[in-house]
Amino acid sequence: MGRVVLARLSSAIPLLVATTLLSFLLVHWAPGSFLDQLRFQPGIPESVIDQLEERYGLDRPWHAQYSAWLFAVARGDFGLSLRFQRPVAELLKESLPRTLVLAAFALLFCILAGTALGLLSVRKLEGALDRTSCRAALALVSVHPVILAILGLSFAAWTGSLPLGGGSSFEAEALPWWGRGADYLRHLLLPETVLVLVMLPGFFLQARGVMAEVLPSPFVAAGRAQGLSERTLVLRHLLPATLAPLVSYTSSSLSRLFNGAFLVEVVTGWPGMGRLALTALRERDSFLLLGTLVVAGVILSLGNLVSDLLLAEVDPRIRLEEAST
Amino acid sequence: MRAGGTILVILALLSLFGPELVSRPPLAQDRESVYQRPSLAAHVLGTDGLGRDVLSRTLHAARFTLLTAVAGVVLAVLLGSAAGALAGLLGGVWDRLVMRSTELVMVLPELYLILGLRNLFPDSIGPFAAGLIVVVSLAAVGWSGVARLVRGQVLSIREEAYIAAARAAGASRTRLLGVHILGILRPFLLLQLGLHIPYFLLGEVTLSFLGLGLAAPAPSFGNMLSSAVANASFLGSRWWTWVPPASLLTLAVLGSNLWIEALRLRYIRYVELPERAGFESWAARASRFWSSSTWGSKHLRHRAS
Repeated sequence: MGRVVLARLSSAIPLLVATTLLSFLLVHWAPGSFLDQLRFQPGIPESVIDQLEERYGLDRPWHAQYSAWLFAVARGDFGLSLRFQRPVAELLKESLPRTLVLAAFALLFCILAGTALGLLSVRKLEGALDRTSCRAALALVSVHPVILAILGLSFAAWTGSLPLGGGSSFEAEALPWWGRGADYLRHLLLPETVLVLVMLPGFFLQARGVMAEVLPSPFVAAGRAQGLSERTLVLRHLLPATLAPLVSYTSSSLSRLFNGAFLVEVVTGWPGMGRLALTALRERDSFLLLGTLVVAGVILSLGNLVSDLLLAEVDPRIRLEEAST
Repeated sequence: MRAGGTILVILALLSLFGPELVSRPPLAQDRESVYQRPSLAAHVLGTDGLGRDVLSRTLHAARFTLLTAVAGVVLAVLLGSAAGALAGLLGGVWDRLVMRSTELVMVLPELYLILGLRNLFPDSIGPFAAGLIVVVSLAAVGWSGVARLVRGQVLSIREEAYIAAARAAGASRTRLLGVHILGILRPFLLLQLGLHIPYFLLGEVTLSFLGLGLAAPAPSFGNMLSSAVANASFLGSRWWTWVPPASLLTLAVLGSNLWIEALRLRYIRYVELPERAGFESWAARASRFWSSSTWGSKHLRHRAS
């Protein structure tokens, strides 16, 4: 196992460098910076802008800027958001946990519920439950996440029981910790539900597909013939056999999870990193955009790393392959 | 095939000819009659916050979305298959170059990557440039999957005996690629075109919803939805401003998903593989099916008989 971890880690490092370089260049090559916008404002003298440019090192060649920025990031300094006039690290520290909570809960729920639904559904292939849930999943896959979020919002507006956006209420500041927690959850409920609806069909279809493929295999019949109870058969034999494909599906859907969380945040007003990135793009706030890009990229690579390790853990064949090379 | 295809044909006709049939222009404002309910007498689908006709805007938006989605898919599949075929055929440095660049696309979450790409272009641009940017940035993300799949296909096909025979007969590399490899891959590439359509439909709407696609006065599904979201507390009472674009979009994606499903079944029969009992995500299923190494040879046998 140690070798596998080492191999994966060493292949993750060039990817991380590529992530930072790509994000940096995308932001660096952009036409029109925050300072350019300042130049168009008549009240600001040229010398002030030059001073600002020098202060942030924007007059140096790109590779010097990149290495300076990379070393600063390694120390946890993401630069200053020109729009908010606050350190980018601070802004990220506020918004990233929100996105992570949103995404992690959705992922966890989808894995569990998707597998459970898949299991129920393959009990009778082409049965009533199976057909209905497959059709529902197909329909749900075809709905844009934004539309789902809008439907959720209008439902919330109609019932009037849930807050329409934002991450906390003004009154919540004065409450004790459990009151603030309840307020947090109340605001989380709508975006979370929408994100689950976005992600669940994929997980369900995948789980169902894998199980339907495993079911006809001889080991299931052999287990049945030996008189194993359905419970043992499912828990000890069927689920372990489906674990590896499910883990690799989860890893491939991380990017989709990020997209979904992004859109849900924008529509429902959950103040996460997606909203921050969009603001940064609109305001041409380079360091902020750069910070969100890098953090998103790093989390994606970490997610992939973790799922690769998990895959090696659940699938002995991969472990053996790694060890032999 | 029938249900999905029918939906798609109807939508295509609607978006081609619909905008010409409605009498009201999509940009004409009427400040006297904002947020009019749908009525047969005046505006069939009501008006929006600036008194613009929702029906006309929806139809124009549908045209824009369908055109950009189709253009984007074609561009992505062309780019991807060219890069994948080069990588598979030439090998060596080219192969590594292409594979590393496909990995580069995957290091950032798609939407963040698109945000970064959009950052390379100026803020305010005309509708044609906006369409172009949407097409290019979606294709810049979408090509990599196609390239990897095509590379795998080419790698297995180039080991076939008939390629060696063609080479021995003196076929040039261009002829090998154009006639023998891409010719065999035609159904595969067609399926790839189909598979990417829902993804590009959704992607275009995402971009214009975030204000990165078609800019404000021109109608698109995305900006119609985003102006509805801007007044979130009126979503229920002014449903007609967002329900028509939302339902047309959903119908288009549903139609293409159904169509792909039917297409896949047809090609499976064509290559005489047993239909899988499973029902996975479209992309996963298709990629698994098409990357199975037996496919090339079975296909050949079918051709030969």
